[in-house]
Formats: sequence, C-alpha cells, structure tokens
Amino acid sequence: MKPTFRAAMTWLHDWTGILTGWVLLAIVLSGTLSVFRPEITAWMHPELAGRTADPVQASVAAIDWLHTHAPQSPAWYLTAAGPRAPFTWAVWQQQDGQFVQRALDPSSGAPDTIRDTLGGEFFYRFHFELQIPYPFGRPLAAIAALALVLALVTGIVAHRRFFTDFFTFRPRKGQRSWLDAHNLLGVTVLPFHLIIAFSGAVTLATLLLPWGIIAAYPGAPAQFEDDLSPAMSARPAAGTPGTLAPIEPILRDAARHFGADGIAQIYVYNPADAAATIIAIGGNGTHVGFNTHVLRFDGTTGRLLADYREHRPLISASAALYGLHVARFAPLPTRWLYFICGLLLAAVIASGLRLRTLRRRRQGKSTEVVERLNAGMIAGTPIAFAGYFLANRLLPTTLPDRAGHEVQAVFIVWGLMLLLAIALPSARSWRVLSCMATLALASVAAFSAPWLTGVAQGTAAVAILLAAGFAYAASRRQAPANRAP
Amino acid sequence: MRMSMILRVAVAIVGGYAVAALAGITLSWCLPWSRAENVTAGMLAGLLLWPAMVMMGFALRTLLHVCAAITGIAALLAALALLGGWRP
Amino acid sequence: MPVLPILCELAGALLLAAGNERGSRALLRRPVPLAPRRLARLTGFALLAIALWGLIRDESNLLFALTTWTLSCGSALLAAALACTLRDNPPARTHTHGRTRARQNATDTVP
Repeated sequence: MKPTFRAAMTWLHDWTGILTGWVLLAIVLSGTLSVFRPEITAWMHPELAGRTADPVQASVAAIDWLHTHAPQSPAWYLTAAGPRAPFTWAVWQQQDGQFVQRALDPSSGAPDTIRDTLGGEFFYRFHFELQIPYPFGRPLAAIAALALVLALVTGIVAHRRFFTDFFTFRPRKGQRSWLDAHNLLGVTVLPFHLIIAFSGAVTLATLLLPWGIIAAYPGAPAQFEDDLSPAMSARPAAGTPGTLAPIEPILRDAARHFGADGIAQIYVYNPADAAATIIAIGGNGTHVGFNTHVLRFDGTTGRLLADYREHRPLISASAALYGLHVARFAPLPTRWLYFICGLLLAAVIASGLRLRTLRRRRQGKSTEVVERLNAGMIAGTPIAFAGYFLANRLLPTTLPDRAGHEVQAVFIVWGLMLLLAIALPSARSWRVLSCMATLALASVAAFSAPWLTGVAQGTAAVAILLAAGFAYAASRRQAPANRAP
Repeated sequence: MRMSMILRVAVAIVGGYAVAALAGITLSWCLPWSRAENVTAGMLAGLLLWPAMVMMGFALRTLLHVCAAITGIAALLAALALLGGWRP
Repeated sequence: MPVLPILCELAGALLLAAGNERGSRALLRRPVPLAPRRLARLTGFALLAIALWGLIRDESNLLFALTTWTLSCGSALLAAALACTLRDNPPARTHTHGRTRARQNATDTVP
C-alpha cells in the first residue's frame, strides 16, 4: 500500500465527514428512534395504554369506520395492529385530496377518542425525507447513505491501526481519547455500520439510479414495480360503484396464508368501486426479506386473485437487504441491539466531528464557528427530538392540527438551540446545551409516568441513561485541550 | 493545487455517477435473467460502484489518470450495453 | 431472551481482549507472554462461535441468528474494551491523568 493512498483516503474520509456529518447525525438519530416506531406511537397515545389488539379484528373495525367516513378516498392504507401496537395506523385521503394519518382505536376503529399525533411516524418519515419538500428529501437521504458508506470504507483505511489498538481506550487525554473513542465505537460495530449504510441506500436505489429501469422498460417504468412485486399492484378502477365484500373472512383467509409471519399491512384500493382491490402484505415473523409475501383479493367478491411469494434469488437478496435495514423481523432483543448500535453510529459521527475541530485547533486554526455549530447539532438534535415527546404531553388534546404543531415544536426547538449555540462562546454552549438536554430527557422520563407499561419503562430508561450521559458531559472540567461535549 | 482538487472532486463524483448509471443500464440489458432481476442487479452494482469510483478518483496519482480510468470504464460499459442491444 | 449466548459472547470478548497485547496488559496489569495470549484469543474465537451456534439453535433461522450475533458481538467487544479501560485507569486516580504510564503513543499516528 502506497503511503499516498492512505493520505488520499484520509482526506476523503475527513471531507465526507465534514460535509455530511450534521445531516447524517440527524438521519442516524431519527432512524435509531424509528427502530421503535410503533412503541413510540404507543407512548404518544397514553389513552391506549394497557390495551391489546387482535390484528384482524382491529383491521375490520378500522375498515368499517373508513367505509362510513372516507368512502371517497382512492385508497386506504392500513398498518395492522399487533403485539407491539394496540392500534391500527391508517392513511387515507380527505375529500380535498389532503392525506390524513391517524391511529385508529382497535375496537371502535375510530380516531376520535385518541389524540392526534404522528407518533413514531414522524421520526420514520424524517429519517429518509428530512422534512424537505417532496422530490428533494429522499435523494438527499440516499446520497447521505452512500456518503456514509464512503466514509466508513475510507475510514477503515485512514484509521487502519484500530485493529491492534482495539481494546485500549485512553481517557482524559484530549484528542487522543477522542480518536480512541471514534475508532473503538466505529470498529466494534463496523458490520452493522456498513450494512445499515448500504442497505439504507438500497431502500432508495430506484430514486438514485433509475437508469437501468428507464433503459430496460422504455416508456413504461411503472411496469418495473409490477415485475418486482406482481401481487402488489391494484386493478384499475372500473368507474362504476360497487360494494366492498365482508372484510373479516378475507382477512382471516389472509392470516391463514401468512401463518406465523402475521399480517403487516392491508391496502384497500378504490373501496367504493366495482373493481375494488384489497392487498394484504405478510409480516416478518419467520424471515428477514421485506414484503416478500403478498396477497391480492377482489374487493367486491373477496376472491383471492394472486398469492405471490418471492423466490427469485437476486430480488430475494435485495429484499433481505431492505429487511435488514427496516428490521421489521427483529425480535425484541435484536431490536434493542439495533437501537444501541444506531446510537453508537451517532456517537461515531459526533466524535468524528469533534476530532476534526480538535485537530484544526491544534494546527492553530480558528474553530470557534464550527465548534458552536457542532454544539448546536450534536446536543441540539437530541433536545429537539425530546421536545417532540414533551410537546406530545404538553399541547392540549383538542388543539386543531395538533400533529402538525407537534412537528413544528421540533423545528422551533431545534432552531432555538442552534441560535443559542451560535450566540454563546463554544465552551459555554456545550455546557448550556448539555444541561438543557439533561433537563429535556429527564422530563421525558417523568412524563412516562406511571411507568406501568413496557413502552413507558423502556422510554424512561433510555431517557434517563441519555440524560445521565449529558449530565456527565456538562459536569466535565472544561480545559482547553481536554473538553467533552 | 486548489483547482486540481476541485476538478478531481467533480470528476470523481460526476464520473462515478455516470459509471454507476451505465453499469445499471449494461447489466439490465446483458444479464441472462428476467428483466426485473437484471435491473435490480444493475442498481445494486451501481450503488457499490459509485463510492468505489469516488475512492478511485482520489487514489490515482494524477487527474489525467482519473479521467482516463473513468472514461475507459464508462466506454467499456457503454460498449457492452450497445452489444447487448441497448439503444440510447 | 438468549441469555446463554450473550454470556458466552461476553466471555469470548473478554478472552479476545486478554489475547490482545494492550488489552492483556490492562486486564492483568502486567505484560503477558505471547503463548498464553494466543491461547486466550483462540478460546475467545471459539466462544464466539459457540454463541453463534446457540443463537442459531434458539432462533431456528440462520439470518435472524447471524444478525443478532453480529450486533451482540459488537456490543460485547465494546463492553470488553470498557472493562480494559476501567482496569487500566481506575477512577480513583483521576488526578494523575494517566501520565504515569507513558506508552508508545507515537506508534498510532493521528490521521
């Protein structure tokens, strides 16, 4: 290996990290929270605490409610209730074309008794759409994912000594400690980091590299989706009104087909049309691949039109990568490991950003502005996300467009934290923001009261641990060459 | 020095993307499986190739080498795609 | 909860740490010759393999088990590294700043 190769890769590692570090940090943190998407939604609906739901019965109730309240919607998209979620998550279109997403009560199927909140959906959507207007967020997230792949691979070259230094972390030594932490956190979970970054790009591959589709399906790129998942597409609407067949037998039939995998999602297309279609997607109780078992029913007769199970090796492999990313298969211990590894990835990125400013300062360059922005992003993002949890409990439940205001709260808090970080000298802003993060996270733990359900206990435990981490960071002595955020 | 670095970044990113896109097209036309499988293979290969090309863009010694390598790979892929029956 | 495989992994990770030159010096607080270190490393790898076997038996699904194994091995190695750090730098000696053990820091270049 030529010495110049390593220098080039180090340069690339640094610049990839600097340019995408802040975006990646927000993506990684929101993705980490998305691991517990239904659990967070459950936390945000304390009305439903202690309820249980049968996926079929809850879906039947939801479809009955939608039948009377949103018959005109071109489609109803349901995510079935289950052991992790005592509610049906439904997305449909209002008369004015506006999309609505709500949790529906498992027994009445109505959203009225439940507060209006996006719950964990916010983090899930933010993870790959970044709250940026429609066509731009996803490609940006996809490029960020590939940048992470690049940063990881070049990082292996740049920090090549980490395999020998594996077990030594030297604390209280300034830059040396940050380098050790960066290497240690990066290398112990390296397989996770690599897979999650690459599979993240895979989930958005059709947006990033559509050229193969355009070349192979001239003039009809939608045909690719049909070939990819033949049972997933609906029939075109007939244009004549029709009535939906009784839904319960259809869903029982679907549940029988899926067996231990369970029903994950139910889409009803053109519910008031003679050519209504019901699509049921199997869950991941026994396999990793995402959406590899799909059933299509005739909505008016209830007849099974298609039963598609993915067997093509390449597409199964791609679906498995997708499945590894979204982790719908993961049993609870694995899910917690995903969560922990996600936090570690965020820590790798944060320590990398920190390392960069320390090195620049050692070279005698001014790092004050970057330092302040680092404080605003590294400590500000957890505060803003904690602010979302707090807004969920503090906003009145009768507020119109309550879910929208909760999301606004995140960005208001985020903006305020960034402004605060920019206004204060960096040494102060690390400490002030760490204190605020401690307070915010401790409040999240307090609002989880009465800590009776597993979800409340888990949320409170995570919040307290993170709060303790920030409290420790705030209490550290702030020596110039030896500072902890 | 500055200018050559900016050029290198541009060539590595844009050229790397072009290679990834061409790889997608070539594989979707030249692989022996069904259309959807070929396209999927092409996309996966493209996702691997883009970061690889960017790394190559910085690993080679001169900008000329980088341009030559990327043009060469792109030309090879395009030729294969044309042989496979692709018409732009 | 697959408790046994996780314990197995933790033990394996600690043995791997003991098999590493710096790790062993931190854990045992004295230099360890090569032969016992190699033995510790091999046993460590064996324990990690046994944990994988246990997970495959528990989950009865290869890909599930492999995922869980990869993620938990990482966390176990991290725990082992933290154990080494704690042994190496007892919290009581916060004021020496670890200066007493001047090591060959120069070997690890800061990129």
